Amino acid sequence: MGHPGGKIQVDHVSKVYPGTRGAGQGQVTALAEVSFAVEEGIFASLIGPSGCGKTTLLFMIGGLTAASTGTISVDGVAITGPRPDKIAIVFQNPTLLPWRTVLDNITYGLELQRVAVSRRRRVAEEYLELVGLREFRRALPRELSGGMRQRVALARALALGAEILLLDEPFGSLDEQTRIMLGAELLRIWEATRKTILLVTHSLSEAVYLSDRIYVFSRRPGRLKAVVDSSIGRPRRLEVMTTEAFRTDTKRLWDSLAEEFQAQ
Amino acid sequence: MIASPRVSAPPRDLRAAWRVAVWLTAAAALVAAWEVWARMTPASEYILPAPSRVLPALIAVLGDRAFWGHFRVTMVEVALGVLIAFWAGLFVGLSVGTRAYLREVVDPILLGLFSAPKILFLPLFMLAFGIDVLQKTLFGAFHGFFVVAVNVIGGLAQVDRELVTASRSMGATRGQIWRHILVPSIIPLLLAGLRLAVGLTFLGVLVAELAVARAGLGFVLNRAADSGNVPRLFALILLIGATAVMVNGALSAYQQRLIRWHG
Amino acid sequence: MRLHPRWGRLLLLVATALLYEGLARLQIRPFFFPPLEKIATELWAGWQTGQLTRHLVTSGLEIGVSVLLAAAVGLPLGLIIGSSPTLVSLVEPVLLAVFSTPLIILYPLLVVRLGLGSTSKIIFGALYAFFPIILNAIAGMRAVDRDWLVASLSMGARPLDLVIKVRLPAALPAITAGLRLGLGLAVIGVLATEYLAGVRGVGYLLQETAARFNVAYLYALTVLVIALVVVLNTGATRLEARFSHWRSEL
Repeated sequence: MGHPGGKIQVDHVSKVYPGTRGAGQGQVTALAEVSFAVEEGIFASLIGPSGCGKTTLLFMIGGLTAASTGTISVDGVAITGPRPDKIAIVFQNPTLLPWRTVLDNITYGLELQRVAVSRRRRVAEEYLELVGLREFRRALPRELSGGMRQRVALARALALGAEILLLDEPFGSLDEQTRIMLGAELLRIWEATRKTILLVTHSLSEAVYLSDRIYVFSRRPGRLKAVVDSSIGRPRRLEVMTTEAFRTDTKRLWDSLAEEFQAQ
Repeated sequence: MIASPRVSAPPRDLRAAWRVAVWLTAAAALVAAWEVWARMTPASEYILPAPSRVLPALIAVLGDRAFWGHFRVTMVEVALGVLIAFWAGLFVGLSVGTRAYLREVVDPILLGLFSAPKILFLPLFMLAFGIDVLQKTLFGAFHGFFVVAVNVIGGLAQVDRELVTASRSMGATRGQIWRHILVPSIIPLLLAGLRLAVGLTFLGVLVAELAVARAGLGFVLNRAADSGNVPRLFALILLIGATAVMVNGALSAYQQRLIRWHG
Repeated sequence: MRLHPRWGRLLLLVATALLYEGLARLQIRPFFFPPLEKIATELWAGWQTGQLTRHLVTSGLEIGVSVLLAAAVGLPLGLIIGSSPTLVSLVEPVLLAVFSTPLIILYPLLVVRLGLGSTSKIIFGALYAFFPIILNAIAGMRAVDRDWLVASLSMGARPLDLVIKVRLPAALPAITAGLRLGLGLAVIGVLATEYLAGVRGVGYLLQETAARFNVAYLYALTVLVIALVVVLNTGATRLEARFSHWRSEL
């Protein structure tokens, strides 16, 4: 199923959590062997029932967790730890530092990268503008709504300038309308920056609306069950959700997923 | 395989048995080092006498009937003080805590007195009540009172108003509301306050005895200090400290058990 | 509907003062209830002669130094211990146990070695203040949200970055709370030691005034010290709020 020389190469990767009472006892296989390649510049989603290991996979690609078997490479180089120069992550919880203003939160990643102060601010202002929060530059996270916080988290990740963006159910805790709006924002940003995006989501409509390609995972132990390529053209506006193509894709996705959900 | 620090599982706390083992080992090492240091330092007589000198002093104290007489005096003062502190604190706490306006007015005053250095009031207590058991008991109670009162008020303040309203709408009488909602709400904080009150009352009684007294543990401490008998002084300090820790520990454990019962 | 609580409190205090004055005027137990006027006069006299100021300054300095000392020892230790769950589980219970004892019993020992001067007061005040400072520093370090650490790591944070940019700022509210509590306890410790075995300071002044049965001055001092402590506490609380303003209800 893999394309040779993909931007992100996942090779026979699995994740097994050891049991508490020695080898073999109480082991949990979160992810059974998975292999695929992600091309440069596409918007891909990972979808599947809870516990299927998609977040774990995302974290492994991001270098935050070690794989039990197999390798993950980005641009041909194996991932052994966080690579903020290549990969930026947006988490489900915005994880903004509550004592920093919005602007300082956006510069945080650059600070960690030891980027010069003047350049930091410039880059941060740019992305602050991009996510549409210019008037809130001095606000504290507690003064922002959930959606706004995620936008700051997004700006922070983008500011790192990495080519790959990983998102772990970033809109999970938001209401439906905000989800859709932020999804559209994300698309707009992607169209402007052409990064390689990997989004973990629970929502079928979100996956279909946003992605070029959807990786479907089975329930635990997670296996790559299917790959659904989008039949919807680009660029996409929100109205796309009412088109026939959207419905077809959603049905194809549902067909892949249905038995996983039913079996739960 | 991953070089960066793992983010999957946080390190676990040492389990209880291991901890006790470490503590005992550390304590033994500490005592040994202390003994060695004390033997090498002649001046240690005066500040940190060697364990080998404190131990016989400790044994002497434990065997001294007069000491136990003083111990009893202090314990009686503390016990009575706690009783007074508890009931007075409960009374004031309930009176103030159930009246929202009164609470808003009085709470900062109570809090202010609570955090004020109580030693300020010792002369007043002595002038009013003398220097014997009555004064010690009342001064001790004075220390414990505030914790109980503040805790009762706090417990009442955090009662869910909606719960009370809902109960009233279902025809609950005042007595029932008290029994089923207010009392269970107060009890955990009241118990916590009682536990703290015991410690604070003990402190208050000791302070009063250390200032001016003719009997009690404070008096015994002063006498040992005046006579320059530092090993005995040290032994007394250890003894009183150990008593405090044990009483606090016992109350803590009891409180935990009660909480588990009532949930 | 009624007076704002703040005015209610003022009214209460004024009523108490009037009641007191009433008792004094009626010559009920004149020893215990000297008239307010006398109290004020005594206070003024103490201020005039500079005696009051001298003792206030002494106590103030002793308290200040003891808090600094306690912080200098307690903060670093607390931060180090707080960053290791193993150390926390070993050390925190011991600290809590020692803190639950009436530390005042140590003062004779200190006085025997360090004398009646300011040193013993400072050491004792520092001892009292040490515990809330270190315990709060430990708690502050533990209160760090793991998510912040994970996000920081994903952006290339090094271990030192995590401490300086995440753990310390996160611990700051608890640390300042600990300092405020430590200040309160230092006041209590220093005043108590001055009273019990001192030759200078507000505590000593109190003891001396009581010994001379100068009830009016005694009342004056008591009220004055309480007022000062309230002001100190309010100031400390405001300062502390500045460091915790970013906290939300989350």
